[in-house]
Amino acid sequence: MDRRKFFKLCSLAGLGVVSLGVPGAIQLARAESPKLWVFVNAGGGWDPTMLCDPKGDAKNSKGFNVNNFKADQILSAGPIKYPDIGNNKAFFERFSDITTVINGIDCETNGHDSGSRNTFSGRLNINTPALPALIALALNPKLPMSFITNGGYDDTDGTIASTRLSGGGNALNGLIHPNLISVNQNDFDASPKFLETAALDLVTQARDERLMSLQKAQNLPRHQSAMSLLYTSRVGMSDLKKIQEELDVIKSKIDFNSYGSGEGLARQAYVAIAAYKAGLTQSVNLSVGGFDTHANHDNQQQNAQDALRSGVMALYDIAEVAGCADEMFVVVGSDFGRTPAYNPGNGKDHWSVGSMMLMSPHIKGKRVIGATNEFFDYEKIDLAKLAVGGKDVLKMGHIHKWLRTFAGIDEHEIVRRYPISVKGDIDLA
Amino acid sequence: MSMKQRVQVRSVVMALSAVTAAALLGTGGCAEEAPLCESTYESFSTKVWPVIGTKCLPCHNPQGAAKATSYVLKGPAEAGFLDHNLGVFTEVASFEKNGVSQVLLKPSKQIPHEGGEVFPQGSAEYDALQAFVQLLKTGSACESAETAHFTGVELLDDASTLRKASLLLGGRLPTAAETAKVKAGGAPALESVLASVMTEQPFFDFVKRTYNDLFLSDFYLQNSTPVADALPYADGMWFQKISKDEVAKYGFATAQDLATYANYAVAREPLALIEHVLREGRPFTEIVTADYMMVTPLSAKSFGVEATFKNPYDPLEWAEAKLSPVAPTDGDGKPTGEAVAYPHAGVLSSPVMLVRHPSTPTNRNRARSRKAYLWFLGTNILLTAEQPIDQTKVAEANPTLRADACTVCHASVDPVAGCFQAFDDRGRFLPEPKWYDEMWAPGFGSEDLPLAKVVNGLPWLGQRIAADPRFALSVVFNLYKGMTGREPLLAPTNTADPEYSGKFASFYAQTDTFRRIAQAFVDSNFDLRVPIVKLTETPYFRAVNSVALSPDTTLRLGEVGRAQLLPPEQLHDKVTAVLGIPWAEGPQSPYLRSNYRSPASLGAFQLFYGGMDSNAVTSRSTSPNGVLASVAERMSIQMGCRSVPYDFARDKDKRLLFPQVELSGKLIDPVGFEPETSDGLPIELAQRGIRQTLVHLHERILGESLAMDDPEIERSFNLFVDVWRSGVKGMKATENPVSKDLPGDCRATRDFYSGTAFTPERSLTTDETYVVRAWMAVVTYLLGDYKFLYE
Repeated sequence: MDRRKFFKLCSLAGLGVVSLGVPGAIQLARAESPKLWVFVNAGGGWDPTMLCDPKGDAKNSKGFNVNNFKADQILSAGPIKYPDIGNNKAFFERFSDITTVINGIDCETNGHDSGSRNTFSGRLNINTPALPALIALALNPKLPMSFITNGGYDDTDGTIASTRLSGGGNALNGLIHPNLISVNQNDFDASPKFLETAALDLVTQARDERLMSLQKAQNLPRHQSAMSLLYTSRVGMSDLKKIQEELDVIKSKIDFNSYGSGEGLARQAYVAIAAYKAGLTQSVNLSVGGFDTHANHDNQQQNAQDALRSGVMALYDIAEVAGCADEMFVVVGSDFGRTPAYNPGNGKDHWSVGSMMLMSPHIKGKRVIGATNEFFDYEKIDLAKLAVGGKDVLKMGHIHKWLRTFAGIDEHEIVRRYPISVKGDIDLA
Repeated sequence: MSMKQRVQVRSVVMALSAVTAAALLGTGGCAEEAPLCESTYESFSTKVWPVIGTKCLPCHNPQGAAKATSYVLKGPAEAGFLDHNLGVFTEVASFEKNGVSQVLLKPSKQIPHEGGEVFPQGSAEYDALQAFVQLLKTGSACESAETAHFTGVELLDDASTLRKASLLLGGRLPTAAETAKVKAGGAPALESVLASVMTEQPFFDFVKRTYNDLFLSDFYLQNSTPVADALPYADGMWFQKISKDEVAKYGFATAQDLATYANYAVAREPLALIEHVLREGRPFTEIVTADYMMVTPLSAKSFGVEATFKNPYDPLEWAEAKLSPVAPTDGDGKPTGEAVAYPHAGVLSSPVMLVRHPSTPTNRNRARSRKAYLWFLGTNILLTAEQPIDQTKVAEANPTLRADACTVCHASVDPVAGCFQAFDDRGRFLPEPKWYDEMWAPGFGSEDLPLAKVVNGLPWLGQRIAADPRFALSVVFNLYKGMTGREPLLAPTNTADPEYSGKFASFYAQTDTFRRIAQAFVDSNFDLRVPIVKLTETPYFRAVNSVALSPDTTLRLGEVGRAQLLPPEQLHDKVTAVLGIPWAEGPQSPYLRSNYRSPASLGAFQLFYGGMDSNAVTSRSTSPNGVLASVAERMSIQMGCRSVPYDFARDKDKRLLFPQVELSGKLIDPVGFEPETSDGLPIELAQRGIRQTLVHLHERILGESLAMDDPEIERSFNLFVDVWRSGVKGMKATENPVSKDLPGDCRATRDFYSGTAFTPERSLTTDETYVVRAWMAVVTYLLGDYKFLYE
């Protein structure tokens, strides 16, 4: 099938139904399967007890309190508990219907590098591609910007080229229209060009022919691979123009300033959603930092979490404007959790027990899997029943095994090169 | 590749046919039986390590069950682990009972072994160790041939290597004289020319960029307020207190200019030290041992220190200085004792480094320690702990001191962290430091930091790092990354992997190469230029192709060949070197690197092209994507368009791209090469001139030496003619004809750098014959080529 037609069909198939419902509440019709995978990296190690696994200020049996907020500040959205601090309430009231919270995950490490790797790949081993990279690789490797990353854990181990997006404005216009002299024109087609279009077409043809010729004569794997990646990255370069149209549509309906500290994530989501709508993207990494709160924990952690929640709300606002909110599967996670007790600097240190949130109409909402005890240690569960009280320890690997299966990539040849070794399976569908 | 091209590369060893690889390379005494001739090191690495790395290491490691024995091995995460383990193994192997070595008796349980029988007598593992023990007794007279690792690889010749190295290290093309010297003098001449290149400013910029990619200290270039504000020693606002007349003496108009340049000097201090050490020809170890720091006249005021300058009003002159002693104080800031000298230890004690890499009450300098290991000892300490930690199983009261799951890192990290104890979380010097008894004692390796030295922990540590064999390896690792964009390989650990053998061979080839270079570095008394030149001589820099490879050799040669997508700064340099003008919005504002006048502002496309800002983006993209490809596309189109008329506007004898061509005894200007008559008949002389010019363009832009009849010249020729025909036809069209004028942005009307307008005779604004635009298309084609974008 012609690639352009293929993209067009993908795009058409991606036109999901967005119900109107109550403003601000997500009530989405389910598409058959998620088409855009979004991974939100909360860098530094968040504190789930201030998000989706609250304990409150009551002293536990060892005589210390896990949190400083009052126990009666803990609210519920169905089975999901959260403290009424920051913008938690707005967040969970809006998204609980499409959110599965997973608590009490054994992160198996408290090092940042290995922690973020484990959270977003399911493996501790170095050189493991992030799940968004594997999804892009397995589902749509030829899309020009199949895996967009704004930071976070985005290792690809050379399996697919990632696209880093930073900056924007006129520079991005210049890239969308590389042959235009001025990129500020309203009418791009009528804008003066460096080369006549016919001449540029001849240049492109000759350049591609030469690259293929060079590659044919090349035997060293590094050079071969580099030439392949160069060719792939050029395929469909002109499709970047489609981003511009989508950006314009979104921009007119979104007030970025309204997201406060979440504006950074909002702008990441803006370009990512536009790229997806332009048919160029399969998976996205969004990232926000500030969670490594070894000192002055409560204030700094809440600020970071507010930015995170506000950014996720912006992601959904933008996706709704673009008409693709129900096509998304959003994974929100962090390196690991933070210690149950405060250190002398009122900070919290690294703790290898954590949480993750899966947000999508494609899985059950208003659900909590796993748990922690009063000391913020994980509780064992029954993996088959997803119920607390079994003999199993829930690990990131279990979640990723399911995510790989759910995404339909678990049997892909390259994905199988990165096996997840945890015993047992879970089914979150 | 054409035959001509093959001539320009030196075919190292094309096949192991009738003649051995080593023989072809002339490896001396072992040449007759090269494949069988291994050094002790190679034999240990390839035959013994795969056995003991899986069978012994799990217990015999610094935190394992056998940590109290004399047989303690290091894992592959540590730089130089094979050398270390060879030493340990050799020592233990020398103990025998009835003529049988302990390294055989124990694992086969011929004598008691707490680990039980690991492998029996007669097993493959036993036989491998037995053979090596025998080799230790007899000794190996062989020195393994480094080149044997790279059998089948085709390398660039010396002149082509010079071009690549000059672009990388000098940001320029070699001169004709330099190229001629290398062509005549071979490798020694290459070293000589590169030595000269490495005295030029771009070389120092390259080294500083390499180290900033690690240190990320340029983060502070982008602070809108002076970085001095963040430093405890600094008077960040001194510039507000001086008169306008004084400001003018520095050549500035406002006090804010002073602030900007003071900020620059404070932020750049650790990198300035590196440049200073290189310029002074001092051992590179001084970057961790220097008992001084670097200041400019402006940052000297920020730090409140005295320094001697040739011109005290030159804002960019650097000089050595020492921070003032600091007295201990009570809670009210009242001095409680005599002032203590600041413990300078090169970049280890650099104020901006300590601020850039802060600590916390619970981190306790461990992050600083981890980075010291990574940057100066080539060891990623976190990789030594790539095993799961179960928080609930860690029951010890002080796990970092007592739990094996934690001590695997902390036993190394914490002692070095203790050497930083004279600095608090923000980097403030503490003349009376207090450390934590419950942590591993401050020290390095097996040596404790003497109590009398606690204030001087960093100078004490710096001396030991400088003396550690891993320092030289770390420098080679850092340079390799800076020169190729790639991390050094880690030894594979999964011997069950069917590709283990090939992967290990690839790792071993690289590690053997690097240890030789590290030794040369040490032998040169740590002259940084030595490992740089040595790296340019390796196949990791020079390999351009190989014979057809089997699956096994594909793995073995998987890392060979630079194949580096040029980082934005290097692409900027290359465009400038080849075309004579940069890809830039204006003379001061290039697209792919920071603004010349304002180093804090990045080029408009620098991050899009995979660059970093040392702040939010702290690593480089090493492979292309759609956005990055679009940057390259815009660069090639815009610079193809701009550079061609600009070159034609130069004096004919100063052109870089389009020198006059000698045809039938006359010098002809390529601007007049119309390939066909108006009737479509070929103009033979012009077509010959076009081909000659194309040969020159391929050489200048891509570094290819091609013959006039090379297929690639033919491809470029066809492109020229096709574009010309299309354009001429367009110009004749009755509806929307193509203009005779050049695109506005591409007209040559003024000097790029000075802005001085060209005379009408020199200016080039029109293209009546469409020849100029045909050349633009060709230059665009070449600038977007793999061989231009990659090195």
